[in-house]
Amino acid sequence: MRSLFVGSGRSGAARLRLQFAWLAVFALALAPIPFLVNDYWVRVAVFVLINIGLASSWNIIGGFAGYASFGHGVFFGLGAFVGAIGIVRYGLPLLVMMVAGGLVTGVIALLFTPIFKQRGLYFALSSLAVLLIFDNILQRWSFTRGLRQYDVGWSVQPSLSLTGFYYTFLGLILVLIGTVILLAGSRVGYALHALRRDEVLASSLGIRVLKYKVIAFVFSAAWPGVLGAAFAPFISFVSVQSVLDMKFTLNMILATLFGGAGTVIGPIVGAIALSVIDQLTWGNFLEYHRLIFGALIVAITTFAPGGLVSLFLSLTRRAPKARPEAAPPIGKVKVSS
Amino acid sequence: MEDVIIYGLLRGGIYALAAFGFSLVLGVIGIVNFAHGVFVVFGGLLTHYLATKLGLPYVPALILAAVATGLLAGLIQRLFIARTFTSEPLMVLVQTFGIATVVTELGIHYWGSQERVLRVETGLPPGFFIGNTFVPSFDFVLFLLSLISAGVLYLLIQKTRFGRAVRACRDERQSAQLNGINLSRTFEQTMFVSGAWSGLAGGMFIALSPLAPYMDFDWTINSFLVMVIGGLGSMVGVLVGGLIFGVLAFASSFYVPTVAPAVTFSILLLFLLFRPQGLFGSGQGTRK
Amino acid sequence: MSREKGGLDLSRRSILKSAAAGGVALFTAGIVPSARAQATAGKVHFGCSLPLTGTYEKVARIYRDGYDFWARTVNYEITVGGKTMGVRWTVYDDENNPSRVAQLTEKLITSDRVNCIAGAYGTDTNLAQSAVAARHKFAVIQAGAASSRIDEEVGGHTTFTLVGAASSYYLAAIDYLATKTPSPKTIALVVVDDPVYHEHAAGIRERCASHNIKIVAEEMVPLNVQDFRPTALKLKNLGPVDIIAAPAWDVVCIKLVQELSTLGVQPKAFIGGHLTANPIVKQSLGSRLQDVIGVTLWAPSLKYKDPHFASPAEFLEKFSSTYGYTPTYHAAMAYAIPLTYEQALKNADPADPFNQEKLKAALRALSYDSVFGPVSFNEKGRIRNEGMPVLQWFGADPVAKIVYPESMAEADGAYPKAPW
Repeated sequence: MRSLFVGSGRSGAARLRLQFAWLAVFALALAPIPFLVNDYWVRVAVFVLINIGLASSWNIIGGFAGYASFGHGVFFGLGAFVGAIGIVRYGLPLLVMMVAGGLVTGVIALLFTPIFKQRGLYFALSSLAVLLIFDNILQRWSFTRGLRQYDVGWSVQPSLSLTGFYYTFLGLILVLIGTVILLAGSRVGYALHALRRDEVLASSLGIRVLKYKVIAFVFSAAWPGVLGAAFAPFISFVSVQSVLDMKFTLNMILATLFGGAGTVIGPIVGAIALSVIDQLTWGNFLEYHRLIFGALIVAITTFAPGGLVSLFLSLTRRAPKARPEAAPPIGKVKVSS
Repeated sequence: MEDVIIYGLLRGGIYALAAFGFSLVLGVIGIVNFAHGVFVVFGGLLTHYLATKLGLPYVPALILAAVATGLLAGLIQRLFIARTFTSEPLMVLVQTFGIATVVTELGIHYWGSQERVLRVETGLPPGFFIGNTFVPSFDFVLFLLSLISAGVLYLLIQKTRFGRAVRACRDERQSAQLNGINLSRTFEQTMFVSGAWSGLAGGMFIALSPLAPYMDFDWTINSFLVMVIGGLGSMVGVLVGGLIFGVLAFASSFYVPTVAPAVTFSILLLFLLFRPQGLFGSGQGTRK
Repeated sequence: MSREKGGLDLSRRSILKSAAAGGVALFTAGIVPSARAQATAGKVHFGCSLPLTGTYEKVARIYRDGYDFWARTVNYEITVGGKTMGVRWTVYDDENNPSRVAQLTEKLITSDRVNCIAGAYGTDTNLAQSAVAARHKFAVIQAGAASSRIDEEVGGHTTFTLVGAASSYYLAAIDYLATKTPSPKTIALVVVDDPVYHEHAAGIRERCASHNIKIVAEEMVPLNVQDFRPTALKLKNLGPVDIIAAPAWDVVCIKLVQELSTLGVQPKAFIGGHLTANPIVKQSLGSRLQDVIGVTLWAPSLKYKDPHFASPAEFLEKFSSTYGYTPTYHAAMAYAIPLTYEQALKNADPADPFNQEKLKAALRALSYDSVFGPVSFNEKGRIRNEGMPVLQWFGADPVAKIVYPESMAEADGAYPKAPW
C-alpha cells in the first residue's frame, strides 16, 4: 500500500502523524471558503466534497481490496432515501438520519456479502445488479416511493443554510478521510493489500480473507449512506432519478482511478481534478463538454493508466540508489555468508 | 402463455446476435467492453442512414453498416484498447466507458439524438399463425437471419484459421503466442467480428423498433445478461442465453411490467451467485 | 524510469510551474467575479438551463431556438419601465439533472446576476430550480413541467407555469369521442409510471366516468420501458375495445402503434398522446398514423393574436424559415416565456425595474394574448386555459386537423378509425 510519501523507512506511527498533519492543512485551507466566494462556488465546493467522500469510500473496496463495485452508488442513494423518509415522513432531525443512513447501508452491505464469492468481473456485475434491483424497488414500493399515493420522489426542506451544509459536509469528509487513514494504516489495511495482490496466497498465509473483505465492504458502504442522508435536504428533492443516477457510481470509480486507486490521496486528487475539468468544460463548451469529458477519460486511461498520483510519482521519482542487496524474493531465504 | 414464449424467442434471436461479440471479446481478449452497446446502436443508425439518405435497399445497407461497425471496432482496438490492455483490466473498463461516451456524442452531433426506426417494405404477407399466436413475417425473417448469422459465426470460429487463432487465444494464450500467433492482430480481428455482428444486430433491430444514440448502455447490459446466462466461451451458450433472456425479458414485462427490471436483475444475481459460469460456460468465469 | 538529476529537477519544477499557472488560470476564470456582470449593464439579462445534451436534446434545442426567436423578433431590445433596454441571454446545459440545475440556477442568480429566469424542462428539474430561486426570492416562468407538484410546492409564490395542468390534457379528447355515434363504451389505458402521466390518467378516468365509458384495463409501464409488444399483447387479449388511449410522448405512440398494428389489434379509436405532431411520428409510422387522435397544446391553425405576430401560422412560418425546421408546439411555449416577461416589465418601476417582488405582482395581475394563446395566471401560478384542442390525422399521407372543440374544428372526425 502506498501512502503519498514513498520515503525511506518511516515508521507507521510517523506516517500516520504526517497524514493527519496534511489533513489538518486540508481542513484549514477549506474552512474559509464560504467567506471568500459566492453561493454558486460554495455549492460547487459541496459537490466536490461529496465526490471526495464517495470516491474515498469506493477506494476502500475498489482500490485497497481490488473489488470493483459497479453498483456502489446504491448506498449513496439508499442513504438519501433514508434521510428523506426520516425527515419528511417521521420528522426526525438530520443528525439522527445521518447515523441511520450509515446503519441501514452498513446492514444492507452485510446482507449482500454472498456476492463476495466471486471475483473481478462477476463481482462487478453482481454489484451492478444490486443497484438496478434497488433502483426498481425504491421506485415501486409505496413506502419508499413518495409521501402520497402517486408521488414519485420526496421533497425535503433544507434544514440548514448553504453555509451550514458546507460545514456539515466538510466535517463529514474530514472525519471520513481520517477513518480511511486509520483503516489504511491498520491491520485491515495491510490485509486488504495482501488479498488484493493475491487472494489465494493471502488466505494460505492465514489471513481471514472473507472477514476483511466484509469489513472493507461495510465500511465502504456505510459512509456513502451517511453522506446520502445529508444530501437529501441539500438537494431538496430525492427520487430514484436524482440520487440513484449511474453518474454517482461512475464518478466514484473515475475519480478514484483517475487519481490513483489504492492510495489515500488518490481519490481526493481525482475527485478535485475531475470536478475542475467538469466545471471548466461545462461552463465554457456548451455543446461539447460531454465529448471533451469522454475524450479526457480516454486520454488519461490510454496514456496514464495508473492515474494522476502514479503519473506524478513517476515524473518525480528519484533515481534509484545503487542497491547491491536487493530484497530477497518470496520463498528464498537470504543467507548471510 | 405460448405467445409470450414465441414473442420472447423472436426478440431473443437479436439479443443473442448482439451478445456474441461481447462474449467473444471477453473470452478472447479478456476485457469487458463498455462500448459494446455503441456498436449495436451505430450499426442500426448507419443502416438507417444508408437506407434512407443514400437510398440503398435494406440488405446491402445492413451488410455495409455491419462491416463499417466492425472496422470501427477494430480501429478502437488498435488505437486505444491495445495500449491500455496490458495494465489493470479495470482501466480498460473505464477506457471503454470513455470511448462509448465519445462515440455517442459524436454520433449525436452528426445525427442528432432522435429516435429512428426504419420502415422496410418486404413483399411478404403480414404473418402466419402458430397455434393461436400471430407471428409477424418480418420478425420471423429476422429471427432466421439471427440463427443463420450465429451459424456463420460458429463456422468462422470452428473452421477457419482466424477461428483457430481466436480459440487458441481464448483457451491457451501463452501456447498460442509460442506457436507464432500474432496476438495483437488476432485481437483486432476479434474486435472486428464483434463489431460486425453487433452492427448487424442493430441494423436488424432498427427495422423493428426505434434506436437512438442514448440507448447504448441498455444494449451493453443486455449483452452482459445474455452472456451470464449462457456462459462465457461458448457460442451455443450465447445463442441459448439470448433466447432465454428474450423470453425472460418478455415474460417479466408481460406479467409484472412495473417490477420487470427488479425481476430480471434478481435472476441475473442468482445466476451470478450460484452458476457464474452460466449454462454452457467453460469455467473461466472466476478469472479476476 | 530513471532520470538524471538535472532532468529530474527540471521536470519537477515544470510540473509545479504548470500547476501554479493552472491555479491562477482557474482563479481568474471562475472565482473572481467575472467581467460578464459589467457587460450586461443596460441590458435585460435572461438566464436559463436546458437539457442540451442527453435524451431531451432535441426538445431542448427547440426551447433554445424559441428564446432566440423571441430575442430576434424584438430586435434585441424591449421597453422596461418606459426605457429601452437591450436583451441578453445566458444558456447553460443541465443534462436534465436536478442537482446540476440547482447549481446552475445558483450560478445564474449569484454569479451571472440575471434579471429573469426561464424555467427548466421536466418536473424534478423545475422543482430543484424553483427551490433555489425561492431562496433568493426570484420569480421563475416555466413551460417545461405540467405536473401539479409545481402548483403545490412552488406555484404562485415563485413559479409561474405556462403549460396547462397535466390532468387537463386529455379531457377534451374524451369529450370528443363521447360525441360520436355509436358512443364508445369501453376504454383501455396505457399508463406510464411517473407522476405526470398518472395525472393525465386521472383526468381521463374522471371524464370517462362522467360519460359512462368503462375502463376495462389500465396497463402500467415503467418510465424507461423499451419494448411495447408485451403491452400490445395484453391489449389484444382483452378482446374488442372501443378506445385505446396512450397518454404519453411521441416514441411511445410510435412503438405502440407499430406493435398494435403488427399484432392486429383494432380499436375503434386510438389516442396517441400529446406529441403526435412531432415530425418523427409521421416519418416512422407513415400511413399507420391515419385516423390516430392526438391532443396538442397548440396548433398553427388556431386564431390567436400576439403583440408581434398576426397568427400562429405566421409565427410558425417565420420560425421555420429562420431555423430551417418546423418545430413542435414547444417553440411557441418557449417564445411565450420571455414574451410574458416583456409584458410584465413594460410598466415596471424605472428606479428598480427588476425587483422580483414587483415582478411577481405584475405577473399575477397580467392578462394578455399571445401566439400561444391567452395568458393569465391563477393563484397557483398556473396558466388559465380551457383545455387542449383535439386533432386527428387524415388520409394515407396523414395530415392533422383539429376536430374538437367545435369552435376550433377544421374537420369532422372519423370514427371508427380505419383498420391498421
